Amino acid sequence: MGFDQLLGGLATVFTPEHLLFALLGCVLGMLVGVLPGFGPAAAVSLLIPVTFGLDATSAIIMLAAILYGAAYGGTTTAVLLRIPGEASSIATTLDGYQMAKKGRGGPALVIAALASFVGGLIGVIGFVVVAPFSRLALEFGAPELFLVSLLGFALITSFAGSNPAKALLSAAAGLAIATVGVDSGVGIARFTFDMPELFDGVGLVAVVMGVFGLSEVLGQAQKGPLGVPSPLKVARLLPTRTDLQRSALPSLRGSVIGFFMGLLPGSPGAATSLASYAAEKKLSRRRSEFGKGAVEGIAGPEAANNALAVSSMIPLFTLGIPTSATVAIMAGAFTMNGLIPGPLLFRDNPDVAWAIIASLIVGNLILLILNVPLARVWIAVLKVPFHYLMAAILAFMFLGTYSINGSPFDILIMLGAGVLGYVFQLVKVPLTPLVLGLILGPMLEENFQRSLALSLGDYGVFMEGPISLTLIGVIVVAILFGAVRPLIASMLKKKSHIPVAPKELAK
Amino acid sequence: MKKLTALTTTALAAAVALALTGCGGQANSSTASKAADFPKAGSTIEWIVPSAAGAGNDILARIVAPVMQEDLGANIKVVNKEGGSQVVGLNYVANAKADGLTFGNTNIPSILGRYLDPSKKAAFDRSSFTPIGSFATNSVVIGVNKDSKYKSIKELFDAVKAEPGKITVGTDSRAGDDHINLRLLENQLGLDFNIVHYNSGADKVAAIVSGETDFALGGVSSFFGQYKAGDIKLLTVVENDPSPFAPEVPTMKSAGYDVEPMASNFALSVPAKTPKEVVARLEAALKKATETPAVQEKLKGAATAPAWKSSSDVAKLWEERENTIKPVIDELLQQK
Repeated sequence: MGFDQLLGGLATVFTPEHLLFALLGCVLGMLVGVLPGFGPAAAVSLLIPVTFGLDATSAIIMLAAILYGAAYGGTTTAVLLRIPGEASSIATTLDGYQMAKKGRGGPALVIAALASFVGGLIGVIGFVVVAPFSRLALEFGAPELFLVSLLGFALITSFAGSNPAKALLSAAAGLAIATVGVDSGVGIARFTFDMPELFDGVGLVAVVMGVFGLSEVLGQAQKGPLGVPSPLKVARLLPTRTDLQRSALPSLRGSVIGFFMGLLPGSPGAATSLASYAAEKKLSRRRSEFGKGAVEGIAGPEAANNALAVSSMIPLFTLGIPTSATVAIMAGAFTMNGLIPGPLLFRDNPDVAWAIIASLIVGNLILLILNVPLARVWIAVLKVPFHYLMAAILAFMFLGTYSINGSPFDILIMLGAGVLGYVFQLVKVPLTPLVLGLILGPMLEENFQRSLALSLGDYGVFMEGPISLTLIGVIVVAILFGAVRPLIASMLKKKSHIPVAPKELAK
Repeated sequence: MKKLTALTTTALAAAVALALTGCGGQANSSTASKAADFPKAGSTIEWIVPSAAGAGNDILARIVAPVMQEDLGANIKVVNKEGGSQVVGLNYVANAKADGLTFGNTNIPSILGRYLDPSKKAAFDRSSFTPIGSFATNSVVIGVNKDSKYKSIKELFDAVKAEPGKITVGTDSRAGDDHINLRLLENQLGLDFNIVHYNSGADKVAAIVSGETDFALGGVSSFFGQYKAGDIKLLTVVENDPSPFAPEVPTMKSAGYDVEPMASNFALSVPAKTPKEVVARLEAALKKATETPAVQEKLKGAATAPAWKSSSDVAKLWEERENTIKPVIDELLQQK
């Protein structure tokens, strides 16, 4: 593997047919990304039958473009309406919307597009350089994944806002929702009320759409049709030089975080972009600006999100193992076109493999070219009066949520989650920890059970090997700095007050 | 002018959204179609796949459906109804109108684990369906990491006997095919494995490639890529004859173990009360599709062996497998 073959691949991609399908995939991906509830998985699965008539390279170039195209599109509604288009753009709602409120929606969108491009590009470079070593990602077995999810919980304090107890409450609610379903280790049905729809747990997308999307619509509706603020002002479209300077390092860091998380089993997109947000907040000298429109809070997660979209394909290409549901659909597309994903692909069909990898560069370039001018168009959408816009968004959310499984039950979940999210917003409980709890809960529990099943009940399994020990070290540091230090600081400030036990907070 | 752009964008988005959800919904012919003219030209038949898009079932359905569609002169729409470990989709088929316009995957043995376990709340059992046939089989194999110290199935099973409950094996889910087949093996050969459940076939395969588990059992298609690439070594095929996809891998029988074949069958069924003539029409179309060379080629490409079993053969097989597997599932349930 190397850059020679990549150049060869580029030559293959630059045929009108391949370029057309890359463009088609990018546009479709962006569209499903923009529309709340609609995800790349639904789009890819709907298009699989279409790909039958195409040659394998065109087919997979298009499907891959849908996957990473969606990672670009999810940003738009997150920034302009505080409604994430995809679960992985939750992190962008935190600062993107604040920027839009200040009339800086244009720069926010352009920065997001640029950071996405950086993430995608670094993803591809990583693909070429790291792919031969991607086997190392398999060193993350059940005990290591348990520790990774534990580390995720240690990050929850980053989303705490002013009141850590409220963040805890939110995370606990997320964990509680995560317990619904048939437990994978022993097979006991929990809180399923004998409804098969609940056996596999509560769907993440339905909850995200409800908690973030519907609750936002409800919040706007409460202000009444006339009370809704006039469409957001747009001061300027392009980011300033300072914006660009402030975004550079976060984009690079986000790309690296996203790239490595994408290699891990599960490739959890939403948790990764949130991890990048948390990292930027911890590292920034302008920590106080976060949550009020810090451009770093967009650049990092957007880069992470796109690097992950690319790197999550690596285990499929190098080992034939799809690490996420969306990539599994791509694996299906390979099989359907008579190709075996995995190392054999590079031996038997190297031209196909390298053309697809090269198409990632071309696709990311197409998306960048599309997205910067489109920022103007998206902002124009905001000129539609809010009550019409919200009604349209609501319709898309219903359709999109239904499209996940073709199940009306998911719409009920979305409605329930929407009410919960609305109540949380009323009492000023942050919503992000809830989603983090919901994502990390099953990962934590299943890998805990699996580790102990593998070790025949020996808890020492969590402390074996350098990866586990490093992770434990990072968790301890994260708890000390994330929870204990602010607690001591606050105790010094107001000595009389006894706050919540800090350790609980970080678990 | 700007307003216009905004409006067209919204309209465009709306149009695409509608197209994406397939706004037609399900075909709803109010008049019961007479068997003689089944299916009415231009009517829509739903093929319910109870698993996610891109899953094995789904890929095969999308290979077979277009050819059946051509023969029947009606549209066949592959619909993914995921959830409740396939129970949601299977409930839907069992409760559908028995007019032949809805059929679905009732793979044997997978479906047995769904309704024989009362906690799954399946609204169906064997009597709820009439099979229309089975178009392919997937042989069950046992694989280990390429560097495993177990070079043959005998070495592996001897090690299991020497250390009961110590040798780990991964499954794709609890109470799924892998789990049930492993319990059958344990019972038939007097073995005791340490069974660890993963979330998907891919995770199970990853655990073998990384060496986290000692061995894994499953359909040959789930190991095919890694087997071909040399990351996984197949020790045996649990079949009377070798698999065409791994011809040099010895059968369980040739290794001296008396184990019944475990191959899974990709069977399709309609609701039980569907008129006989309608079943026969669907059966003929499925048979024709199975025997089409282009379909066979694509099925083989997915490491699945095209194999035709008629409606009555599937019914017989279903009953036999139920009798073998029921005790195992009852035993699993008691262990809770």
